[in-house]
Amino acid sequence: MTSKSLFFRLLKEDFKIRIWTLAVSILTFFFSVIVATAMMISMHMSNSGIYEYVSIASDVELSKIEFAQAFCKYISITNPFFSLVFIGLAMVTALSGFSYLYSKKKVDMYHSLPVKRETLFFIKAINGIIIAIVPFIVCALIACLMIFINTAQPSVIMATIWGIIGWSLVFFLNYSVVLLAIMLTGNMLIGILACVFFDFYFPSLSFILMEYQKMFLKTCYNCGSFLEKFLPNVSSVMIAFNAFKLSEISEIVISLIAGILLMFANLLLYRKRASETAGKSISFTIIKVPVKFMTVIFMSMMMYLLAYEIMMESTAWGIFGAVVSGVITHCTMEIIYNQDFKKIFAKKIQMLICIVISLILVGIFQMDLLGYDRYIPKVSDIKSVAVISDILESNESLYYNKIKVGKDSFYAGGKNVYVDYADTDSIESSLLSKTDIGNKEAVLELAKLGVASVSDYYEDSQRVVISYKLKSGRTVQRAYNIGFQDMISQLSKIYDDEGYKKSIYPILTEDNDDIVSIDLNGIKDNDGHIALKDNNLKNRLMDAYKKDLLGLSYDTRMKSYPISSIRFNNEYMQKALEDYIRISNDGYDSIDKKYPNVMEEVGYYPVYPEFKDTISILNEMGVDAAKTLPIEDIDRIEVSRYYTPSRADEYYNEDNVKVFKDAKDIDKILGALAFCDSPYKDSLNEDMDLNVYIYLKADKDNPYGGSTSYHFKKGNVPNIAK
Amino acid sequence: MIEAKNLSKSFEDIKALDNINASIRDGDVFGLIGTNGAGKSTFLKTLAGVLKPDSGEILIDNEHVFENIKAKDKFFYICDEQYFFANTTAKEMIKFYSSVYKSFDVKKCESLLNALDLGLNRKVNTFSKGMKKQLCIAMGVASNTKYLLCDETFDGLDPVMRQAVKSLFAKEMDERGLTPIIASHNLRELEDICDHVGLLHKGGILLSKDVSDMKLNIHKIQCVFENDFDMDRLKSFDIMQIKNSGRVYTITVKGDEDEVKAKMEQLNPVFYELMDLSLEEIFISETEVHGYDIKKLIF
Repeated sequence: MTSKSLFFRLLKEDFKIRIWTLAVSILTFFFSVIVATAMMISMHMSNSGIYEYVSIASDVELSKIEFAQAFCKYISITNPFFSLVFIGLAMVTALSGFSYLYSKKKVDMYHSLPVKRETLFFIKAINGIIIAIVPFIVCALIACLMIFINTAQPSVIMATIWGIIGWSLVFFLNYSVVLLAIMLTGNMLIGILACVFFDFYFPSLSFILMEYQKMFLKTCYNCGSFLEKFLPNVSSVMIAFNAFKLSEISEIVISLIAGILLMFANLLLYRKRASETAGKSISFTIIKVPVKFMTVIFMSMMMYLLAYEIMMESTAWGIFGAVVSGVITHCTMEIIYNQDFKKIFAKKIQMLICIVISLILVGIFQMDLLGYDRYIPKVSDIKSVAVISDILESNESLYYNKIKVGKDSFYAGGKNVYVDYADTDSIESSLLSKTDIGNKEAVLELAKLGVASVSDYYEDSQRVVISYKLKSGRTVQRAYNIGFQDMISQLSKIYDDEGYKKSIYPILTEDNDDIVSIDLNGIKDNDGHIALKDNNLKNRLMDAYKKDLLGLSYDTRMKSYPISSIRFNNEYMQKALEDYIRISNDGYDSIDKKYPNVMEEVGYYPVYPEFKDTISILNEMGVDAAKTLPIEDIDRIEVSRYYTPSRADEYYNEDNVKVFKDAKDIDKILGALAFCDSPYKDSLNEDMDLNVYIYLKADKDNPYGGSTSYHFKKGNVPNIAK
Repeated sequence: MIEAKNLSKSFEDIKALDNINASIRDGDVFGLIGTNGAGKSTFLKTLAGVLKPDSGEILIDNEHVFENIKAKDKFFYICDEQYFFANTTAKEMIKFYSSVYKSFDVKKCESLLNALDLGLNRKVNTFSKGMKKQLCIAMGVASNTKYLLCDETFDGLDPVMRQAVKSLFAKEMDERGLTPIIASHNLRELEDICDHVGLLHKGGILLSKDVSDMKLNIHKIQCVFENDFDMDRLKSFDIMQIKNSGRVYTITVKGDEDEVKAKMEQLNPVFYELMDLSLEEIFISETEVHGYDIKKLIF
């Protein structure tokens, strides 16, 4: 058995042999960490000198915080520069330690020594890690100390520690992958190619598969299954460049386990690896065929897609691309495997099989041989179903944008109130996940319309996404473009479904007790903020609104238009609004401090004229939700026709502007207008051909609502405006 | 003792060792001879634990060699082209090996290098091929292992140095029972050093014999007979080879020296004498018996 002293003696001897890599590592981190930090300090000092000159103490303090934050960001795992550094170092240290496996002379020497192979492996592997990580840790700690002395911000210490942990992990993962490439190959050039394969094959495969789905599967929604989304994570390089995702402890632990498992696999391969494979292309013959097939099929499919797209969706050119790239890739692989150009056409049958498989896979996508676009599940197989479409409801963001209270502001006692905007994808994903529409038959009817319209184009087509959760546990999602008029009946059934409403309108499942105030946002200055102190009145209002909203039919939405918007605030929201107004008052007096007008992107629900009970209770509370724009306030209304350009060299134009100043005309137009000055907008029943601008007497130069133009309700355009 | 039992090793479709059985006694100098590609290096690499046998086994003092530290600690392997670390000096190499071999004698190694006039602090990459071999031999001897595996180690050494190394081996064998195993493609290099010789050909051992046995049982007779001598009378000898130039015959025969002499006396030749056989001649004779043309195998 190898004694500990022998292990450390050999560790020391190996270290001496690889001293040049240590020099590379030290120099890299000296410049990229210590010198870079010194440069940052120098720039910071020259900046803070300006503040000190004008004696703005708060600005000096702020600049220190910002400087400390800049360093934290620099050293953190969000910095792609260090991704490159650690990927490069992983390559250098792994090759410097294990490149002897590529030389027969070196292998003969090392493997004849009375040292166990696993000992040799650990000596080489550990030294590689030490060579890269120790200089980084030392340099990072020195840099941290430099920053701490200059800013006295304790946050830099934690940021440095997290940076060290994160980057060490990134290095370890990449190092393990390079070792894997070395273990599987017997030649340095092939080893480097294997690294490229491991780093880019799976992300590229994922990309190609998704591109195929986008290109050929017309109903593909959120293209890519779990596999395509998981594949990029198989690449350590991708992880290095997305290292900021390693923010959760669980992700760090998973990455660490992945690295350790890879290292363990490397050890097993190292023990299994025959010494005589030094100098050959691949050290394990068993992987030759699978790797070749994977590469040739991938290249064939990629070149098919490229040729198909470049040559204006020409299948013939696609096949040409697939065959040519298949042949070239196979020939190249054979040359590499045999290290002999004369073997260029070795294994012709395998080459043929690869190309045929590629073309079959292409055919599966292009001709939809698996019936992806035609898929509609049986109603008995469905556990739950969800539908989202702007034509059903386009104001989801109002319910998904959140008000956040942060603590990172230098102002207002360290508070910072802001709108945390939800992105469309996360809104859709959440809705598709939680919606459970009771009327599954209506959804399947809609799906049938969708399948029928796959190959057709409708001028009034609208995007509809359907998500089925099947009893088997699978989730199937499809996106269709269906003509609006064709699907009104199905949309009505779905909109009227309680399950749909309860998921799209979170207020319907909100507990009345949690609501502490409301904001009403109406026409002009008809806004109000009411604290709901009377529980009875609150419950009546909440119940009435829920009932009205639940009872709102699609048909009503097609004819009517919201007259105002209402926001129900819980305690958190109320406090956040208060904070926001207080903070705004501190610095910017010009900001409208009224509750209803702040953070309008969050939480507003429509109030339709048909919401009689709600309007009535609001009236009791002293708010006139149905108040319209007083005619006497209006100076004039301008109606213009929107002209859509038919040629590329034309500009859009608004011509035939009609100006209405007469009170009767104004009244007629206002009555026919889909008009609401509230955050909730609904364009379902609008006639978009005519633009209407309202000018108030208070401001005759600028239209009411800024540059917003209003539209007539469909089929409701008054004769005078036509 | 080293034993190879049914040892086979292939590289893809090339059979480098084919069912080899051999034993190497402690204290002997074992010479492994064969043409290029005969399997000498493969045999030594398998013996050194570098290569794993496909089948069969190779034992050092009854221990399997592959991945067995105890067995590997008993030999020092000098390969055909020894690897030295980049930009390393002889002293650094000595330090490295001394950290690996428990019994490595640094002083002995340094004194050997001094005797060989090899600078300790000189970079190995400035050494000639012969100097590198000398360095390897010095380190191998100083490692104080029981066995020294030398793959074409004498190739590149000048005659004086070859003799010096042979003397060094003899001294080590005498003092601590070193067993050198020397692989070479050149029979003449092994002529005066080997106690036992194995001939490898196409991955198999063609023959393996003690040199002394071979020399004792094979004799070369140079003789001249009367003109009317009946050649059939030679049938009483176990003749391996017979050549003549006029009336002068050179006959290689098998058998005890005294018996051969007695038989010759009975034939009443005009002149005869028993001559020493070179290893080369013994091999030629032995292999021809096996149906091989040694000149094709070795030279």
